[in-house]
Amino acid sequence: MEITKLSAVEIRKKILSGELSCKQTVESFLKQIEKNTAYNAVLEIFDDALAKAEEMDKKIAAGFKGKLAGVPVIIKDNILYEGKICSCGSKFLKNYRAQYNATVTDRLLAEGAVILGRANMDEFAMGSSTENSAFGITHNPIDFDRVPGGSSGGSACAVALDMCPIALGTETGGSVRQPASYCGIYGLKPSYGRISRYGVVAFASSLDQVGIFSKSIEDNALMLEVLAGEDENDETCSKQKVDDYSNFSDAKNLKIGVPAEILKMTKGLECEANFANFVDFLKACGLQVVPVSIKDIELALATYYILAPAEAASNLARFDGVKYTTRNADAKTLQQIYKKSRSEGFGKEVKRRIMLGNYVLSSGYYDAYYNKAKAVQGLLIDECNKAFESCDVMIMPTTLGEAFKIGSKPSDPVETYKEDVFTVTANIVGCPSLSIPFGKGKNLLPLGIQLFGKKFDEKTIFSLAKFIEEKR
Amino acid sequence: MELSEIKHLAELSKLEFSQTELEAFASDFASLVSLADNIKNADVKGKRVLQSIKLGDLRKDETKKSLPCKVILANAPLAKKDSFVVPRVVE
Amino acid sequence: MQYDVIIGLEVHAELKTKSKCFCSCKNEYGSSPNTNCCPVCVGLPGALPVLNKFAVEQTIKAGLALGFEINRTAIFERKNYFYPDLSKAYQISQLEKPICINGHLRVFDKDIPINRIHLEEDAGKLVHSGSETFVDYNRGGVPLIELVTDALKEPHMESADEAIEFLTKLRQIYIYAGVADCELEKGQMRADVNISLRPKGSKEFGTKVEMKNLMGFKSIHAAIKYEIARQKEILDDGGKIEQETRKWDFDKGESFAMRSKENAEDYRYFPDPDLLAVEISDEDVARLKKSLPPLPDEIKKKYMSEYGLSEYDTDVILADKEIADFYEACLALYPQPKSIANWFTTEVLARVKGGAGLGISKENLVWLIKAVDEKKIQRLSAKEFLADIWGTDVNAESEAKARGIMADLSSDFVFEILDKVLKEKSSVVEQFKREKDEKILNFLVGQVMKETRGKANAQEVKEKLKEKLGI
Repeated sequence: MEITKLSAVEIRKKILSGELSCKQTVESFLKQIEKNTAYNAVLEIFDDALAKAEEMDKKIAAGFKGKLAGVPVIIKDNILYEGKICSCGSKFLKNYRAQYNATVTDRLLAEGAVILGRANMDEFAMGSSTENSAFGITHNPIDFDRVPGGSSGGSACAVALDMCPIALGTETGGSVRQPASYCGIYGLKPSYGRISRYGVVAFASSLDQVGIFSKSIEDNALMLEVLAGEDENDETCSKQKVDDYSNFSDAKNLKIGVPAEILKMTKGLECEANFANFVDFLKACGLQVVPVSIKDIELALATYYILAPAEAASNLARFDGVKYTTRNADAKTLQQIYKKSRSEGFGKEVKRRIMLGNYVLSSGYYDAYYNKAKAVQGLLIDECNKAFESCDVMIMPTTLGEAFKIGSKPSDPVETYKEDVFTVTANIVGCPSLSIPFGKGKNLLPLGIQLFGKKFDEKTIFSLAKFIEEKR
Repeated sequence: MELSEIKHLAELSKLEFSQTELEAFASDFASLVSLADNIKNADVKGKRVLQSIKLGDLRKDETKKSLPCKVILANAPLAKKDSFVVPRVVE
Repeated sequence: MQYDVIIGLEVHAELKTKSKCFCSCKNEYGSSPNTNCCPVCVGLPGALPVLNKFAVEQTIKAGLALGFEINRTAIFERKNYFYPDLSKAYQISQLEKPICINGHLRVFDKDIPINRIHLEEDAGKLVHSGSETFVDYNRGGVPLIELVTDALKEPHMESADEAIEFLTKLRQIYIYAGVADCELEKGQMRADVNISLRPKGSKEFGTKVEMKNLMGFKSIHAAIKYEIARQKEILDDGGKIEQETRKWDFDKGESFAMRSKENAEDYRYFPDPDLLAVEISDEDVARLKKSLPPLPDEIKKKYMSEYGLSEYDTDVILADKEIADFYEACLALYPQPKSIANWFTTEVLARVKGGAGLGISKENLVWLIKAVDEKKIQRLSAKEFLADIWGTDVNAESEAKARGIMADLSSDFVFEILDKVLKEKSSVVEQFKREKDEKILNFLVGQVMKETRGKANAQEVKEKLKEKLGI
């Protein structure tokens, strides 16, 4: 039995039955991480992981049956775990030790997960390739010369290479789904407000959500059950009841919507044929596929690249060399501390987005950009609601095509931003979207399809994913 | 975009750039702004998203234990007398 | 040249709440540095604000007390700028939809229009020492309400006296409404003042000069007078007023221009995506209106019409809520409003204003006032007695008895003295019987009073004496 190939659900069962110990499990995964250091997926293995595993074995022996009892998990480097470094892939926070736990960290620990380490990411979650990390590039688990996607590339790569059965990432515009697609695994972006953001270093507050990577759909559903639900420390976290996601419902009568605009947008792209195959596959499975419309979906990318940088510019202003970030050694005055520390601490892409964000918020431009983008957001929400009147789940490709080669993107940032064209809509309208692996590209690298659900209806997309898994 | 405008944004952002970097930014910005401009002609009919909460559902006015001062200052680049320290601020 | 003066005020007051505006740390003055702090108020990465319901309710109450309309949807925005006292590099404030809009406050004979009251978070405290500045975030996140007068609307405040009257009344209303303590020396109430001048009769506004963060009414009064004079002089000389922010130096008694920023401030306000808009219902407003304690204007009416107090006495008592509350407490024990008011406006206030504090229990004070009313103690000796027991915790009645200052006319004691005096001064008595001179009678009364050491009531001694002498 290869422990690292087991799903979280299986690991828990075996540990609770005594077939495996948590310590033995964690040792296997740590070995797997060490074997694959070349991929640079994991920035740090927490030195207390084994000790925690031993503690967990004792707890389990004493009757503990948490939903993640003994399950090893890796978290993205922007999720706070008290006492551990949380650097957000940034030089600026390279020595920053979390002073408190994120709500998701608390929930993982409460259900018995053992957190093995932290995963590499694009600095402050800005990027689609994990090439923007201050701590080196993460490699694609299938093709070493390619990117794993981003910004949660480290977490995706870790799961794909069996370094852990489940990993947490974060999403703002596709940072879980896109790397999941490039690495051939499941990646969920839950509804906005489904999981608390407390203790997750903010990029764009109105779009950010913690996301889940897994190799099995059961694991993904189980993890959402653990993480979801209201939190007194996050006003934007919904009080909506948490479903029993693991208890999949019958999907055979679901109506699947295909937005006409998506078909238009995929024309000529690598994903076009695969998406058509997927539609055929669904039909062959006996599902009803109907045309729907999100008329203004092509505005989503521009809307995203206004809202996200605006919020980021404000959210990242607190990193100023006064309270926790590294202070520039030559700075003499307060203004020098601000400017030199920030200029030295932030990478190029982060600076670019801060500048763009301040541009769209600045006087004279606010109405034309930020305010208008908020209005387009309202428009897109309406259009999605309308589309959902005639279907239960919408589908769209996750990415333009296969993972691209490291260093292959042109210098024009907008060319890279176009990577996000299919993923940003779910963030803008706040709906859940699950990227499932489906099909291969011309280099036989994995592709993904998004199952895009109604707000807070994660259960239906999990059920559909399960249905698809069984029909393959 | 004018270089002076980029400089103004850098000041708002508290970032410093070399002349070369500034010029590179100017060309990036042209591209970024043209992306953003896609929404300029959108017919939005004055819609705006406003998520709200009822007054009665807000947090109750109760206190909780604060963090120890030592923890608050744990990552400070410079701390003395239980405080964060910066060079004297002149008004 | 004659000028119209236009004064605008922005008044900040820290709200009275248990916890801070966006986190559960204590809203408390005077703790040691950075001890009332958490991830939220220090702006640690990942921390999120959660709005305090009571802070919103206090703001609504402040608005209702000043006749404001209450917005049914309130939005919180971020005001972005870098400064070490601002942990997140933005202040959570309100721009587009403040909680209260369109109020007014009566200042002498004018209804001064007020644009808004909004809720925001206070900044931390900076302590400058040597070449360093020390940052303490205890005050960071304390709920603060900012009131902004509407200088674009008539009537305007035109003088330092009017501005001070505005602030005094505002402070009194906040205190009575229970929304803020407004202790000036703790910086719980601070004001920014805008002043512009224009030629008398002109409709166009002149250039505004702002004076920031003034503390203490004396400073504000002096600063306004100084600024009006300064602008007048410049305009009279044909000069132009610079739009600037000036800082008041209390010790020098003059203001100076603050270093102007290279770029005009651009705060890049936008709705805080971490917070939801707050929906305020008609029921909420009605409930909070009902919960408002009586306010100074209402109490004043009652004191004057029901209690029959003069306007002067009323104002004197109401000026300090602690005194007014004590007055009401005494009244509950002894429903003689005028009699108690007389003691308050003289003896009690003199001591409190002299810095002796409110050093007497309502029971002791009421016992004493009642004893004087019932002529059991001479007013003069009662006053001395009050001074003696102020700040102690003796029981007034037993202490007065122990000191033997109680009047006791019905007792044999007074009669004995009376008889004694009549006997000793028999020649004077004879003289009185002959001449029936009032002066002689008063002399005898004085002799008795002297013997009783002031314990008797002179008027009654006189009556008794007349009886004895058969008049």
